[in-house]
Parts: sequence; C-alpha cells; structure tokens
Amino acid sequence: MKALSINRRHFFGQSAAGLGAIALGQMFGDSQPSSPGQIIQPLVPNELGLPHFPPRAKRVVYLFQSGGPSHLDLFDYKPLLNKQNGEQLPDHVRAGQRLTAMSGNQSSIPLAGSHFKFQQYGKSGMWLSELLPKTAEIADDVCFVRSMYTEAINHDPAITFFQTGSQIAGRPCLGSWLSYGLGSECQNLPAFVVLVTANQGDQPLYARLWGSGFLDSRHQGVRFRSGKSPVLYLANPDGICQSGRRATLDKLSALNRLQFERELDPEIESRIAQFEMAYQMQMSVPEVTDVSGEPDSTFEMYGEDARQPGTFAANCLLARRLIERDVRFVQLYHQGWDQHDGLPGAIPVQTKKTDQASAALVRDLKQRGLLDETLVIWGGEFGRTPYSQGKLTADNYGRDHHPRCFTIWMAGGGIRAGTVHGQTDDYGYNIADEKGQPISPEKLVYNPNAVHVHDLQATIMRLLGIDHERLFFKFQGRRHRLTDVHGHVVPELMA
Amino acid sequence: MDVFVNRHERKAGRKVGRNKRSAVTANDAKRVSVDAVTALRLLRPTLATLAFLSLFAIIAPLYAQTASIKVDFQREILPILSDRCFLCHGPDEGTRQADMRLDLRNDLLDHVEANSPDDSEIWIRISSNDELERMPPPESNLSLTDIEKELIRQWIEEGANWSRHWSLEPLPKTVEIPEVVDSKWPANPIDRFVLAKLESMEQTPTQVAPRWRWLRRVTFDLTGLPPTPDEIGAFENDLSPEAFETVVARLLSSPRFGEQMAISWFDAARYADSYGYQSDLLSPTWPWRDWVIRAINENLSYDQFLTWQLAGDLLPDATTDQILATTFNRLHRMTNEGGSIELEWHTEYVADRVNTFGTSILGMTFECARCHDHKFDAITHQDYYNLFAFFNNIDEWGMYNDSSRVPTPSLLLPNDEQQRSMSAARMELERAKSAVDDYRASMSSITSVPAEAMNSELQIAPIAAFDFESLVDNKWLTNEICADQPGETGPANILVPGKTGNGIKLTGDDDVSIGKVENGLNPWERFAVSMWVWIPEDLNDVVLLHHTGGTDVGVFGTNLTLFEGKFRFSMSRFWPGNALAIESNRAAKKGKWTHIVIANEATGSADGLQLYVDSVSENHILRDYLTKRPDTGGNGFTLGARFRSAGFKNGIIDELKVFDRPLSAVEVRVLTGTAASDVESRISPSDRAQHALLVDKKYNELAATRAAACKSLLDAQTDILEVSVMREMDQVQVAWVLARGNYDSPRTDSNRAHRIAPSALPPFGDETSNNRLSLARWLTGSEHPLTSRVAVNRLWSNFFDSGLVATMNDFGVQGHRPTHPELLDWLARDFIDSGWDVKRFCKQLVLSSTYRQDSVAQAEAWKTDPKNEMLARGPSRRLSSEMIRDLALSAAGLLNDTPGGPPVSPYQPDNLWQEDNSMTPAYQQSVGTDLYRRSIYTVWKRTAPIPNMLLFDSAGREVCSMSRTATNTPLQALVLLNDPQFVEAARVMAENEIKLRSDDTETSIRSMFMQLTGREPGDQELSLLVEHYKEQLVWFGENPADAEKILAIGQNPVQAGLAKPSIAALTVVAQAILGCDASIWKR
Repeated sequence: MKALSINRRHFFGQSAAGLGAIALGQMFGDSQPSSPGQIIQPLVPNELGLPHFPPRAKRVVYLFQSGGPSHLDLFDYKPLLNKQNGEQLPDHVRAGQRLTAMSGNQSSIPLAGSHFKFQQYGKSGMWLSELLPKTAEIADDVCFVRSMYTEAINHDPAITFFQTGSQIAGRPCLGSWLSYGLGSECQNLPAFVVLVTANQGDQPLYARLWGSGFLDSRHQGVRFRSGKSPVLYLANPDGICQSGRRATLDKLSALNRLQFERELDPEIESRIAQFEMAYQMQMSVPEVTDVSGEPDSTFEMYGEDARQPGTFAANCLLARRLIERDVRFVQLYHQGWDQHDGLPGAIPVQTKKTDQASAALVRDLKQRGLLDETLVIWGGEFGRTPYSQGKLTADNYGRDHHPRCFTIWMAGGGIRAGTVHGQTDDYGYNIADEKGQPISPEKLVYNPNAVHVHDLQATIMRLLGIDHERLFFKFQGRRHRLTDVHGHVVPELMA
Repeated sequence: MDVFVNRHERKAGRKVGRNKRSAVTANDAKRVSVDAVTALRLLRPTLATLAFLSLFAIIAPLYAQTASIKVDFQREILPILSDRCFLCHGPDEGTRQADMRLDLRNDLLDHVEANSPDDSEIWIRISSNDELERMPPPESNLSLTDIEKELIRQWIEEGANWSRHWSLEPLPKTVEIPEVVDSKWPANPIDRFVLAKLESMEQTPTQVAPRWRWLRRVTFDLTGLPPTPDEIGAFENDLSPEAFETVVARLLSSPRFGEQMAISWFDAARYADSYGYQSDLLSPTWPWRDWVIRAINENLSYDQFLTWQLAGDLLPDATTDQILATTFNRLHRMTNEGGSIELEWHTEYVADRVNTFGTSILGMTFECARCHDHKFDAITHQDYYNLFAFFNNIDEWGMYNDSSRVPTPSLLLPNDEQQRSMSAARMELERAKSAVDDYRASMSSITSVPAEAMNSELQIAPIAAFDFESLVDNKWLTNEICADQPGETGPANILVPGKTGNGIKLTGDDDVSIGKVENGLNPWERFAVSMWVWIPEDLNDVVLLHHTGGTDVGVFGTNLTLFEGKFRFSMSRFWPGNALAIESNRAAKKGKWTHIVIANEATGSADGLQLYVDSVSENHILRDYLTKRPDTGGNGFTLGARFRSAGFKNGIIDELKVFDRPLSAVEVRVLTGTAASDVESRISPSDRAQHALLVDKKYNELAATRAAACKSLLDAQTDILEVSVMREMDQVQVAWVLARGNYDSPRTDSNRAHRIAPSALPPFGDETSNNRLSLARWLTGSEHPLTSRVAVNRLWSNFFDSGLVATMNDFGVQGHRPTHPELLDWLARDFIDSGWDVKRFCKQLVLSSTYRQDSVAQAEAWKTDPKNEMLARGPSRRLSSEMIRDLALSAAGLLNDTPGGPPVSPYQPDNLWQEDNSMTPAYQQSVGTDLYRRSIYTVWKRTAPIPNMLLFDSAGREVCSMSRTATNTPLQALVLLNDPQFVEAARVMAENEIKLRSDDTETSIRSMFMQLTGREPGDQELSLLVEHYKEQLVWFGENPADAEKILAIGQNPVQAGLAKPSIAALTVVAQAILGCDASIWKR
C-alpha cells in the first residue's frame, strides 16, 4: 500500500536516531524510562546498568505447577514412610511447627508412604518416581533442588510470594522484573508471555501473579490463550479484513501525525508507534501460535496432547516457539496439584499431562541449541505433608500443604546439570544437613543445605546476569526488590 | 578528636550490620531526583561530566536565576541524608549502626562543625578515600555523587541550618500570597503562586487555551464525560463574562460530578465488588460506593466525609448513611481459603486498615512500620500498633464463608417494602412476647410442682433418643423413638461401656449423624438436647455437637463446643457478630461423666438459650445479636466431629435425647437422676414456676406462637441487603506491638499498644477514652499538618498532570518535595477555612488562569519540563479507562446514566472469571441497557479485573492506591480497535449519523469528530477521513457480507432501513477517530 509506505517513511524519518525503532522497542518492556518526554533518546546502554554480570541465560521458561506437587510421590524417595505407614508423625519431627487448619485439627496424623515406585536415574543417581519416566530421561540435563522451603502455608499467599517475592499484593512478579531490568529482545512479541493450561480447575490463578505491581504496566505479562484470539482483542472484528485494518491504521497514523504537529507532545509519536506494534502483533501472534507447520516428530516428542490448544503439552510447545522468537520470559501455569485427598488416583493424571511435555521442552531446546541460553524451571509453591490428610487406607491417602521442604528442578542456561542439591530428613518433613539431620534454616543466613524462595529468585536473576540486590525500584520511598531484603545466590546450583 | 578515637568501634559496628543491610546499587544515585536548582548552582567545569553538561544545557535557562541561593536543608540536604544514610543511621533502632542517627536535629549536628566542613565528621566520612572510612560503605551499594557531597559541604559552610521535614510542620494559619509582576494574568490566588514561580525563572505562562479545549477539559475533569455538541455550541455562543462560571456551576451540580470525583477515592479506599483472595467471591459493597457518590454530589464537607467513614458508627444518633460510610474500613480483601488460620487473617485485615488510613489520609507509608521502626520517617513500630488499636475493635472473624453471608459487624439496608415487612414482623414478635409475659405473670402464683415431676420418669417424651447400646451393620444406631430414623456412625467410632450400658467413643475424625430428626436445632425452634459426655483430660477446644452447613472456614449454624475448656452453645448466621451464644461459667470436668443439656426457647435473643451442666444452669451470655436465618442446609445434626475442626477425640457420649421444647430444671434433674433426692420443699420457687410453665399447655401454645414470630422476623430480614460496617465492641480489645508483624508473636503486658496519636504528629487534645471518633476529630483539626495537604494534593491531581507533591502516597522524607510548597499550604489552609468545601475547591481550580492555559508547548518545553511541574502550560493527560469507555458510549448515545445499584457486567471476552479460577462464579454478562452503564458501575473483581479497563491502567483495587500511571501500549490499540464495546459504539454512532443526515458524509464525519474530540476537524483531517470513508464504502459495497458481520457486533439492534455498506464504512471511520490522540487525550 502506497499510503502506508509514505506515512511510515515520514514517521520513521523523523529522528536521526531512528525514533520508530526505539519507540517500538519500548512498547514491550524496553528498559528505557517511561515518562513522556524521555522517549526520544539516542539508543544508550541499558539505563539500569544491566546486566551486572555476563548472563548465563537470556530467556526463561517457568513451568509453574500450581497447587503444590507432592515431593514425596515424585522426587523425594522416603522408604521410611512406607515402613512406618500408618504410624503417627513423631513429635520431634514436627517440632511444634504450625499445620494448616485443614489437617491441624485431625485427631490423628498417620504417616503415608508413597504408593509409587522409585528408582535412581542419571549420573546424579536422582531418585524419581515411576510417574516421571520422561523426566527421568533428561536427568542429566537437570539440577534437582530437594531443599526448597517457603514461608506461606496457604495457596494464595504462597503462590503470590513465589511469583512476586512478597505475600503482599501490589508487587511486581519475576517476569515483570525481568522485563523491566532486561527489556525485550523481540520487536513484535511481548517480552513476558503467560500461558495457562485450559480447564484444569483446582486452585485459582490471579491477575496479580503476572502483574507489574508498582512497575509500569508495560511490564505486566501478556496472557496468551488458546482459541481464535490468543491475546485479548487481538483479532479484528468480524467483517474487518487485514487490508481494511491496514488502511485504517494508515489514516490513523496520518491523523495522529497532524495532531503531533499541532500539539508537539512526543507522547503522540509513541502512540503512533504503538498502533504499528499492535498491527505487527496481529501478524506475529497467530504465526507463533499456529503449530500446524510442526512436523509429526514434534508431536511424538511432546505427545499428541500438544495438538490440542490449551493443554500443558501445547503450551510447552508454544513456549519453545516463543523462545525461538526471543521472548524473554514465558510463564506457564499448570493447576491441579492440590491433592488433599485421593492422591494416589489424582497424581498420575497430573504427571500424565506434564511429564512428557516438560521433558520434551528441555530436549527440544537442547537439540535446537537454545537450552544453553534458556533457563527452564519446574515446580510449585510448596510441598506436601508426609502424613495423610484425612483417612489413610490401604489404597488411599491425601497430603496437606507443607512449606518446610519440597523439590523443584531447573535445566538449561548456567545450571549445574545432572546434579541433585539438598536433601530432607527421613520423613521428608524437614530439610536436612549433609548427614541427614533435620535443620531449621533461616532466610537471613545463607545455608548451603537449604534454598529459600528468595534464594531461588536471587539465583535465577544471577543466571540472567542480574545482581538481585541491585535491581530495584523505588516505591513508597524505599527500594523494592524481587528478593525484598533477603536472598542469597546459591552457587551450588550454577555450573 | 573523638572522631578518630571511635573509628574502630564504628567499623566493628558496621561489620555486624552487613548481613542485615539491604543492598542497593550505586546508579540509584542518578535516579534519585537531583534537584535541578541545586545541580545547576553547583555546576563547575571540574565536576561536570559530559552527560551533566548536556542535561544542564537544557535546564540552565529555567533555573539560571536561582544559582546564588543558599542551600535549603529541607529540600536539598534532608533527601540525601534520608535516602543514603537513614537506612543505618535513621529512625529504625533495630538496624541503627554505631548508635548514630542523623534524622534528629541534635544527633545530626553533633557530627557537624558549623561553617567548618573539614572539622565535621560527616564531611570527613563522605569525602574519605579510605574504603573503611567512607560513608556510605561500599557494601551498602549506596553512594553520594560529587554534586551531593558538594551540597553537604556547602550546607556546612553556610552554617548547617536545620529544620523539620516540611510535611510534619503545622499547617500555617495564614499563607501570604506572593506579589507578581504581571498582575493581569492571575484570575485568583492560585495563579499568583504559579506565576510568581514562573517569573522567578523568567518564564511566562502559555496563552489561554481555546474555549472548546477548556470546555472539554473541564467537562471531563468534573464529570468524566465529554461535552455534547449542544453544550459546545451553547458555550461558544455565550459571550457573557459569566460564561465560564455558568459552565462550572452546571457541571458541579450534575449528578455525574460525584461519579467522576469518587474514582480517585475508590482507588485509595480499595473499593471493589469481590473479596479478593483465592476463590474471590463477590461481596456486596456497592451501597458504600453509592453513598460516596451521593456524599460528593451533596458536597458533604471533606472533614465530615472522613469522619463518617472513620467513625460514623460512633456519632451520636448515627444515621444509616453515617454507619454505611464506615464500610470504608471493611473494603480490605478477605480470604475463605480452606485451612486458613483465623488470627493470622484477622491481623492482616486490621493491618490493611492501618495501611489504607496511613496512605489515603495521612499520605505516609505507615505500612513500613508494621514489622519494625520506619527506616526513613519518624514512625515507630509502636506508632503502627497504636493506630492498629483503633481498628481492631469490631466483632469480626478472619475469614468469610460465601457471598450470601456478610462478614460482621454489618448493617441491614432494607428497601421500603422490606422495611414494612420487617417492622410488621417485629411488632408481631413483640406482641407474641407480651402474650407470653402476661401469661407468665398470671401463672406466677403457682407454688407447687405437680407430683409427677418428682418421679424418676419424665412426663415429656423425646422426639429422638439414642442409648448407644448396639450397632447394626457396624454403623446404624437405633433411634428408640423413630425406628426409621436411625443414627449413623463412621466405622472407627466404637461402643464402649458408657454412663448406662454402652456409650459411643469417638475418634474425633469420624462423626455420628443423628439423622433427620424433626427438629433442626434452628434459632426459631424450641428444643432441648440432653446427653452424657465423658471428656478426656487433653481436650479443651473441640466440637461436641453441631448443625452447620458446608462450612470450610467460617462457622455458622448451631454448635455445642468445648472452647478453652468451657461449654459454649451458639446459633449464628455469621460468627461472631451475628449470633446468639452462651457459655458455661466453669470449666468442664475432665475424666468424669458430665450431663449436658442445651435448650432453646426461641425468643429471638440469647435469653432463650439455656445450658445445664450437671443440672446446674450456666448461662453466661456471649453474643446476643442475630438478624438472619443460619441457613445451614446440610444433614441435620451431628456429634463429635466436623470437617476441618478438632473433634471429640477419645470422648464418650451416651444417652442422647432430643426434645421439642426446653426442659425445666426439675426435668433436667430427672434426667441426671438427682430428682429423686429432691423433696418438694427443696425446689426453689423459680424452678417451680419454670416447671409449671413448661408443662402448661397454654404456655406452650403461646411460646410456639412466639417462636413462629421469631421465624417470621428472621425470614423478613434474611433477604435484606447487608453490608459490612464498623461497630465498636463494648469491651475494647487490646492490641499488641507484633514483633516482625507476625500475628503469632508474643503478646504480653510489656508490648501493649495504646490508642494515641503517632509520636511525630501533634497529640490528641484529650487523651481519655480515645476511639475512632477521637481519631477522626484529631485528623480534621484545623492545625493537622497532613490531612488537608494530602487531600488538596489528591484533588489537585484530578485536574493536573500529577499532584503538587508527585508522590501522592508518600509525604515522608523519601517522597518528592512539593513543586509549589506555598501554594500547597495556601490551598490546604483555604480548604479548611472554606469548611472543607470540595466543590468550591474544584471551582476555584478550573477557573484559574493556570488551568485555563493551553497545553500546547514548544518541543523544548516537553524536554525541560516533561511532567509540567512548573505549570507553565495547561494540563494534558490520557483519559482514564473509565473516561475512554464512557466517551465512546456517550458519543454513540448509548450511555445509560442510571446512577447506583448493584454492579453491572459489560462485554468481556468469554468467561475470563472462570478461566483460571474454577472456584469463582461465572461472569454473567449484563443484557440490554445495563451493558451501557457508566464504567464506574462495572463490576470490579480483584483477581480478574475487567481487561479493557486494566489495560488502560485502572488501579487493581487489591490495596490502597493513590495514583494511576498512564501508559501507552499496543494492547490499548487492540482494545480501541477490536473490543466489541468500542466497535459497537462506533457502529451506533455511524447509524445515528446516517439516520440523521442520510448521505451527507462530510457533515457526519464532522459531527462524529466533534463528539469524540470536542473540536472541528482540520481540513487535512477531514479529507483523510472522507477519503477513508470512500475507500471503505467501495470495499463494503463489494463485500456486503463483511458489512453484515461488522453490523452484527454488539447487542444493540441495527436500525432498520439504513444502507448497510454505508454504516459499515462510517463505522470504520468512527473507529479511526476514536483511536486518535485527539479523542483519548485530554489536552
């Protein structure tokens, strides 16, 4: 279209430094200051002085397992529980810790051995449950962290804490911090994309989990959904074709140009660029979400589920496609791990949905040469109790929330692959030291045996080249960080 | 030189603190606003880096004049000390290093030798080259720039003057209005302050804005809506000197005024229509929203506006509105997540009240002091909990249960019809009560107890009875009265020797269902339940018997529990504030058989409840306020266990009997087997009278009538709208200073909190019997340093690019200084002197020359003063999310301006509410004209806000927010172009035009442009739009199916008889106009 090229040339030609290109970059989380008037600036090194260190990873895929997967049935082999199945959790193990009001009032808290078989895998000899055969195959690419612990005992505060570093609402999440700190490397997709497995039910997710809090709302996660309009309002209205839309945008651009000549407010130029970016997204988002061009081998790897939009497998595949296009942070959520009762029946359903695709993502990134600079994280907001919530029977048990220890894994950029970090006591109740003795870690003091949520956050940031103590934003008069005033990088997790 | 003597000690002190110190980056220094005046004054070639030079090249002309002024401690030194030093040498005792603080005058000046920097420890430390000496220490990641050091040096050289932080200084009684050179420009005192500053910088104001522009600006600012073409025309034609005032008067009296002005208060008050956490169910808080709008429209003075919200319930003879206003303090989020701990969440809610109070009214970051002394401001940990003590004294529970049960305390808001039925039911109950009382009086002469009562056999038959002698099929329990209504026990409970024969021993996890006995143990039912219990030594808090619904976290229904070792019998709609409850006077006996009777006479109040422990009546009333039916649902009543409650573990129950009326004390003694030892003469007269009544036929008829009246009243009240409010408890609840803010930290006499004013602020006049009302009166006193300053700043920000203090939530030392401190004080003083008159404030502001300036500025001005802090031009800002949607609806003539009522649910893609949350109700999109209500009435769900508003930077309303950002993102472009809400509005605009003007396209386009932007299009604009129309018309003419499709968007029916390709083409043109800066910006 002729009109377009004239307008765009006109527009992009305005600034010697290439206003348009810069402004486009700014649309999604570029780290330039956002106040009007500062938009027109020569392209300078990152204003925040980032990265602080040479990054080991450039991008992240976080496979968040919402609800709290049972470490005891997946990752943390505890034969003693099977041996003492049905006996009461000894008081010395619990040591007066608070329980939730769900099982805390039970008259009996019987230990529940896992119903699933465990076996060692990989050079680390990591014990994994039979529920995770595919994860077992990538064991040598993975660093398992068995000594995670957190502070919250209910889902909402716990997941908010994990994602934003605070149980208090209104703080930016990890993805927003990365968007703010590192900006975007992608001109036509958001820096921070959120994918949620469709129709999973169970514990809710909230807009605040991918919210930018007090950071500029440009840094909030953009939710991609399955279906006709992968981003809200992305599709043209029925009856408007893309050429018609192009024509409207050209006119709009010209109108705004006239308005700029009248008002001279640079914010207007930013608005012009923003409409262009929207148009580009209308092209790029359907392109990235359309997996029809993927060969059959892809679906063999991720599983047939990956053909069904909205499944965890489809989202893992989509995550890979987004990573290929340089999206900075892809946050997946998979709900359904909150097995207070009926765990033996429910947890295989979950692993069937997640095991293959999680492993496929790692494998796929690796074979494409992307794993070295992509960090993959897998885990939930807390673990589960070694005792049964509700009745323990021969074929059934449930597990309550347990913040004192749980397992996550990481793979890819900068991670010490093929290792296991940390351990728990024989009951899987407390984190243990090298000798297997229970310990009570304190977040204020670095403890090599334990990884606090803030420690994990600090380590993730470190892998991305960020000193978690130096990436902050001033709000309410104080410097806020993802890690609050805590967090220690865990060198043992890094290659 | 003690400075050097102490050096080692100090170093040691620093080391200790290293682990704790929050580290930040050096380049932060750049981000802390260096006051340009200061920077310029200090500019010397030796200091200036290239970057600074280029910065100064821009700002130099602005500030050239000020280069010779002395350093201002308040504005220039204190911010540096606060930002770089207070973390370790500030108010927080917990992290203070080397016992040195720089936030207090004397302590600071101890380290300064006036006029002599080189003898001042502060200068020595900050200028030292020795890493071990230098402050701030390297590991803090903080540093001082050369300019900042130089400033401090100059301040010392100039004599090291000191003053208090500006916002804590008392508000001056009068503020002098400055003289200006150009005396013609100012229209009122505001302008004199603004102009004086501009003149001091050799700046001039921008020319006055075109009339249309002022009209559009003021109409949006005061009503949130665009001016209509008629209003524009009328104003353009009104050349009278009063034309501007006429418009302002019209806008201020519009009901739309309150709707617009309420929005920033709703953000501050975290008003929303849902509870927030986890399943985030809807909460009925909208009556408060409507009250706010009404109060603003009626111009309730701001001091009253605050007083009602903080303490309306404590005002003498409080009106419904005054009580409703207190919902302000109940708008915090609440959880109903299973497993939550009541005290933990209760603490969160009170903390949220303190935070919101501190931010929205005092403009201070009180929440920092929840865990420790404030790091920067003079707010102590104790101060925080002293405020906490004002807000923790209501009869509340740390969780809610579901949308139908309103957390207490609460207020009923009946409509007229409900009010009538309620009054009628009340009168009926009063009559029924009198009838009983009269009859009782007539029976008072009875002195003998019928002989049969002395028998060991009861004369009243139970309606259900269980002796727990045997189990059928391992689970069924025989009901001796109704064989077809057996009880049922979980298999783990076992029969053991009981009081008589066998009893049932409980696991605490397995319940015993008594099945569907006729009587549901409801508050309007007369009943008695008698049983023997054997309580093990270790039980103090367990459920013995209950009839409750699917409670997970909240407790409602009928309960007999052991609470802190005493028996407690309650019937509640929402525990504890909407309940009847009594408690035994003495602790329950352990390891022995105890006989328990609970009984209800169904009087509608707690005096109808009875509890007999081993035949002794023990009726200490705990709660006596029940307004609604418990509505338990569920399966009758149950023994020994409840979902997620502690059960009667290893306890034994025996000989359970249920009766359909209360028992007399005499009858209870029959049940306990002690009646046999009674002799006529030992029965007290009152027991005698009671027994005579309870066995009397007429009395029972009258009592049944009273019970029915009691039910009628509960029925009449149950459907009435109810909203959570504040209601002070009789006995003041103690608050404690919670270590690290944790709910479960120790509570002892030594860490009690007290209801007194924060220590950095003036004390209350009268320190006796302080409550929320004293707090409100203190706040609204005419000398209070913060209330009026914070209020006028927030009001100001509704009209200009930001507040005079840009950090609207932080008037503390880390916040921005006011750009116009004298103006802020003058406005605050004038506001108070005018009787806290908000409308007057707004009027004065919009008629000022400052506000009337054009917002057009030369490119240079956008660079030198991007935020328009100097006010050298008129305000400009993107329209708010509410305004953008309302603009589109209004221009289309779709806007439904019905005020108030329950929230409505406009277009939203699919069912976003349940997409990530299967525990929440589905989104029920409104139908008909409710789709087009003003945006302020759109339902606000905290965990899933309506996306097209969130994308335009609406506040999330999870917590208090004092300002919104105004971003520009591509997602906003997608909303404007593709959201059915906006497509439909464009289509209806097009239809209206075509209907009105047929094919006079140019006029139609002019008209649409006028409606959306408030002005005529320029020639080029018009020709672009006409050209677009023509292209589109060709397209839709050739593709009529596409025209059909776009016309089908939205629920508003297409007007018949119009050419569809024309509508479609004009729709697209309307969309283009809507997407223009001219539409969605206020300039």
